[in-house]
This record gives sequence, structure tokens and C-alpha cells, in this order.
Amino acid sequence: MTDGTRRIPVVTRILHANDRVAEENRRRFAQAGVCVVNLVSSPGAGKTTLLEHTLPALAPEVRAGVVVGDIATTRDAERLAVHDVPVVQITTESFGGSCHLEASTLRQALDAFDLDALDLLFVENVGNLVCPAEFDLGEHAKVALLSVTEGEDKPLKYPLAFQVADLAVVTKVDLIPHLRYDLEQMREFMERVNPRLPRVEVSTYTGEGMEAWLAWLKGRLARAREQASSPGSPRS
Amino acid sequence: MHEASIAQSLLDQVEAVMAGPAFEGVTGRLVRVHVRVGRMTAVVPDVLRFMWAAMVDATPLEGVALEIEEVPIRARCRGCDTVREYVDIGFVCSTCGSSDVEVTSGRELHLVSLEVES
Repeated sequence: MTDGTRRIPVVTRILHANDRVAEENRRRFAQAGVCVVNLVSSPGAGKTTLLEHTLPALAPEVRAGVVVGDIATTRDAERLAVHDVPVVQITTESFGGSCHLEASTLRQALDAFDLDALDLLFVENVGNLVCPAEFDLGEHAKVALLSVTEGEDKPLKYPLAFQVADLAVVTKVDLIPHLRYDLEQMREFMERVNPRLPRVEVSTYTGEGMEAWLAWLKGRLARAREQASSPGSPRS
Repeated sequence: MHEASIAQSLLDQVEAVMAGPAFEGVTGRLVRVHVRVGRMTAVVPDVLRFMWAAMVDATPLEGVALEIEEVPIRARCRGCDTVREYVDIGFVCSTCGSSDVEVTSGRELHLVSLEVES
């Protein structure tokens, strides 16, 4: 402390405002009985493609919707809309080209949905393996995607995304024979960063691993339903 | 550049504290804002300082310094219970070799205090 000054203690989270809106979103999801899954990855890891193959596999049993975040264009929303599910595109250009979605941006998008008519809402975050990790949206689970073409060492280089994730999805595994890619090494790096992180390895092209991914989603959906029917239970 | 939105959140909070009960009777000028940033956050301290300066420029808070205390990453090994500091997130316990650890500090992103002239 400098001479002639005094400190007034405060102690709050800097992102308190975001956390508060995230908490509101969480309550709204619980009331509507919708499970929300936040997909995070670098650009081009295959979030939209994974959803293109996931939505038809879930219907009609699971009623799903998608919020798509991008800095610009509505291309992803157009790709997903053909699957006959409600899709809302957020372009963060108007938020200064933001690199991530915040709880309040998601809240705005929610008004465009009939949440009561949904079981599962995917949030496809802006392609970025760094910034989205810091912002709670009120989601039930974060899923971090990593494509094999990005290299084995990304979990070590961008550890936070894999630390805060509830599931890792390794994508494009059908390409491995064409790459100099060491799958074992990637697994080892991923486990070093977060040994408790469950992982599925998928190819939307061959269908490999898709069953495990769908099973994880349905398991998460069932857990969200249990939580919603017993309010006051801790978030996990 | 999420540091920009973090700096904006911080500024909003500082203004709210200054308008609130904690500042009742305070007449001294605000000179410094103290924050705590864990090394396991997606925040680069230099960028946050730069964004803060840009945000308060040409406002009544112009010149108010941002003091960032960096919090090291500490974790407890679930295998042998040893707590130690880690310089990166490739956790391997130096005692038992396990990488199954529970992070105990390093995720902080806190406004700690406002320093005013007395």
C-alpha cells in the first residue's frame, strides 16, 4: 500500500455479472426441463458436422435445438436448419467480434425458442479453444472437441479447455491412416491434463464412435432430468 | 480478446462498489484497483492491464492503476495427498507420479480491494 492511501476490501468474482446471468439461465433450463450442452473447440474441429450427424440420430425421441455462435455469417445455422430443428444463430460481430459467448448473449438467443418443447439444447460456441472456458453460460455440460488434424499436443497447449470440460470428443479419426498422428500420445497428453475426463473418439464419415457419443448425451440428458425433478440438488 | 469484456465487467463492478455502501463517507480519490488473477485462467495480465487503461481513458477513472496479483497453480494429489505448486497444467505429482490431482488455487479472477487516498 502506498503512503496516504487505504484499501477498501471488496472480494467478488470479476465475472460476477456473467455468473449471475448464468445462474438465471440455469434456473430457466431447470424449469423448462431442458438439458444444455456447450460445444467448445478450435475453428474447424467439426462442431457443426458432428451436430449434422447427431440431430437426425436423436430425432424424434429427443427434441433438440441449437444455438450457434460465430463472429460472422449464418452459414452454420443454414447447414443445421435443414434437419428440421429450431436453430438460432448468434453472430458476435455486433458484440465487437467477440471470441466467445457470454451468459447474456445466450439469454437473448433463448427468447427465440420454446424451451418447454425441447429436451436438449446444444450451444455451438465460437470456434476458440481459449476464451469460452472462462465464461459460465448456465449449461449442464461442456464438451471439448479436438480433431486429429490439429495434432496430438493440443491438450497440453490449451489445457484449460480440457480441464473444465465434462467430455472430450476426438473427431475425424477416419483420417488417422493418412496422417502422421500418434493417437496414443494424444490420449496420454489428454490424461495428463485431466485424467478424469471421459473421452469418445468419433468419425462422422464412418460412424465410428457415434454410438458412444449418443449414449453419453442420453446419459447426461437423464441426469439433467433427475436434477430438474429434485430441485436444490447440487450442480455437477 | 476476452480480456476486453473482463475489463468491462471489472469496471462495472468498481463503479457499482463506488456507488454503494462500502464507499459511504469516502472522499479520497480512487488511485488503484487490486485484483487477483490465477495462472490457470484464460487471462493474460498485461492484456488485462492494457484493456483496463483503454477502458478508463477519458473517464473520471482515468489514471486509476490496476494492480494484478498473480495466483500460482496449486493442486492436491488424490493419490498421496501431497499439495504442491505447478508451473503448467501438465500435472504429474513429483511424489507418487500420479496425474490425478485436484486444483486448489489458480482459477481465481477476483476483485479484491479499492485503494483510495485517505
